[in-house]
Amino acid sequence: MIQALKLSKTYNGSTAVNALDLHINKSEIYCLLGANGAGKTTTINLFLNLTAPSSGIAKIAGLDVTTNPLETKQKLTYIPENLMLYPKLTGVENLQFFCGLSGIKLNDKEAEIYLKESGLQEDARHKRVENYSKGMRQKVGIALAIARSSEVLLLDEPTSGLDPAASNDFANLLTDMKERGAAILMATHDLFRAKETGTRIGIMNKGRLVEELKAEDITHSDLEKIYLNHMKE
Amino acid sequence: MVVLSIAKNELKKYVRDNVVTTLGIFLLLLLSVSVYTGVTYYKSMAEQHAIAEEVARIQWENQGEKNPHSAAHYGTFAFKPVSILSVFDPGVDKYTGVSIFLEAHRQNFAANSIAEDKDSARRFAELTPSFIFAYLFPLFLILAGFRSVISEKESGMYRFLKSQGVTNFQLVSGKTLGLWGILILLFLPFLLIGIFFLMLTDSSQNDVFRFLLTAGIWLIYFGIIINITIAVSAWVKSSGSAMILLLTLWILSTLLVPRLITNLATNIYPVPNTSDFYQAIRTDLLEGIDGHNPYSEHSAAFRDSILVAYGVEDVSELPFNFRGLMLQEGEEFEKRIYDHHFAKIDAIHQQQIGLFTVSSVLSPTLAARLSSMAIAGTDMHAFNHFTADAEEYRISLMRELNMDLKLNAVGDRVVGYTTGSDFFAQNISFTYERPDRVLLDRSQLSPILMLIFWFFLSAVMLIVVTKRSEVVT
Repeated sequence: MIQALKLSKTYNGSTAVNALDLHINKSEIYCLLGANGAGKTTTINLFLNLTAPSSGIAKIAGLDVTTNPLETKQKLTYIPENLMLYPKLTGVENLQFFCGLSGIKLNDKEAEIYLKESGLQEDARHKRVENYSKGMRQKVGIALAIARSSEVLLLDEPTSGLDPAASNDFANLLTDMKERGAAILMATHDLFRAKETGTRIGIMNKGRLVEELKAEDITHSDLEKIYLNHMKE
Repeated sequence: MVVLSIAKNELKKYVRDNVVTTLGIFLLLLLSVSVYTGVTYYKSMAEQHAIAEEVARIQWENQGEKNPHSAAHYGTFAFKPVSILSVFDPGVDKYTGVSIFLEAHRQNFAANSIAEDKDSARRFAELTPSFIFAYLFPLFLILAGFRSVISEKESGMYRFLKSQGVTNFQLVSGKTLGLWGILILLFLPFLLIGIFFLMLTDSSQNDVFRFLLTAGIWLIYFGIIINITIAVSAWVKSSGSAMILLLTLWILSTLLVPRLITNLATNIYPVPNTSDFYQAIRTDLLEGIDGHNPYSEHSAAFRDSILVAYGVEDVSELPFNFRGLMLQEGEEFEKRIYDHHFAKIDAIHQQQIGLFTVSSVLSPTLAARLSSMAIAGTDMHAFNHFTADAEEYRISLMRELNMDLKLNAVGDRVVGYTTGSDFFAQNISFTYERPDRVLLDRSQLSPILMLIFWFFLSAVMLIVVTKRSEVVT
């Protein structure tokens, strides 16, 4: 579902992503670990077609994102580190608006059902988003992915800044999305959450994918050691 | 569909924004007050006009037994009726004078302007719908819309929207429509109240048509402001820069350029002072016949030509009163001199207006104000149309009086001949009729074309900015 073929991006002579090969299947959560500047966010931007690749191909559901920007975007939901919804609108209204952009018309009841599925408390759904915590906003993002039946989720450090309980809630939602068949690429600094939630883990350093691991094959401490070793390179 | 979703969302955000709603309610209140004061002004002026016109006519008809030429010197007045559309755009009405004293031998300037009765503070910023539209609506649109696009970039929402497949074109179009939405919410009550008011009063279809056209002019102007506001918001790097840039443009367009051009116009094309003006006329009048002086060189020449034409030796042998004819001849000569000098003043005004029109390439506010005044019939062209009508009336009235002398006074003298109320009651009366045509002069079309040019220019600017920021990096 998510595929990178020798994908590279160079900004002013400095390589942000270097010949990345990646293949993420349906019902898989791929956690991309790496220090700041390792190329995680650029990788996501390449899949979102927010930046053009210097070489190589980024594919979503088998389609090249640069030649099929609209089709590929319809198949994915992107949740950034700080999902900035419209503060003057309620959770329901935000969901209706963003679904409307994809041509999905939701009435209040339908929107409430999706928000319920994403775990947003009942009393918050009709409150303005300006009063929401970050965790609550991320839940609206997940509700959007559910409502749009997204085949692909691209997450850029979605749990950063969340308290452990909220982070755990979010991980459960991702697992739920995975079970619905979604392919998920999550860039994160959170080794613990990557090991707990991920199906596979990739480590990026200086734009290169330097290690790929199956989450079930390693322990938390192994992951930490491997990660730190790569960061020393 | 996407554009409409964004526009609807934008409108919802505006309506829920306390600052925008407070400013909007404030504007509506100001607009209501301005319409109310405009209606009060119109009613009072219409009432005063009717009374003044009636009193002037009664005075004319009841001046008693009098020599017709004495009546010509006694004179009467022409009163300019106030246009019903001055409720919305008084234009130059309050500064041009509402009455002209009509008398023998002399063409007078209009006098008794409303502005003369007002203190300088009121003159500085008269609260009228056109003032609110020209100055405050743009400010409101700028304050409401300056963050429109840039805030999406600053908050990170822009990336999120792009990830949803929203193109820049859709985003900018939606934002533009959204700002139009809040504008329409404010403008629609004015439009409805205006039509309702015109239907309640004795306005003509032409007035309603003019009102709708004026509303159209202001909507084009607001369209320009909206296009520029959204273009700047999409172009700059921060909301602070957007606000500073837009406020600078607002100050330039609404305050600095119009004042600068006013100063330039009066310096480049100065109108002579009244004393010099009348002195020049007095000098020129010496070059022709003076109806009061039968002994002047020109009068003698005229008398001789008439004697030859009628084959008589003395004016007493003429089949009419020669002094009546001479007064009329003098009147016509004086009219030519006055027309020549007033035409010079008019030409200077035209040059000033021309400078304003050309300068509206620097300020859409100028173009909008000139266009609105022209269509409302409250500009200098409309005023000149009234003064020309009044002058035509003066000449016709003087002709009637002189003809009475010419045909009815005995011998070659005017002294001693009198006529009475019956004659004065038969004299033509003056009632000014506004022309049916919306525009009186081709030059009135220029600011409208300039405004349309500004609209297209701002639209192109918006499209270019949108396309440039569409490039994927």
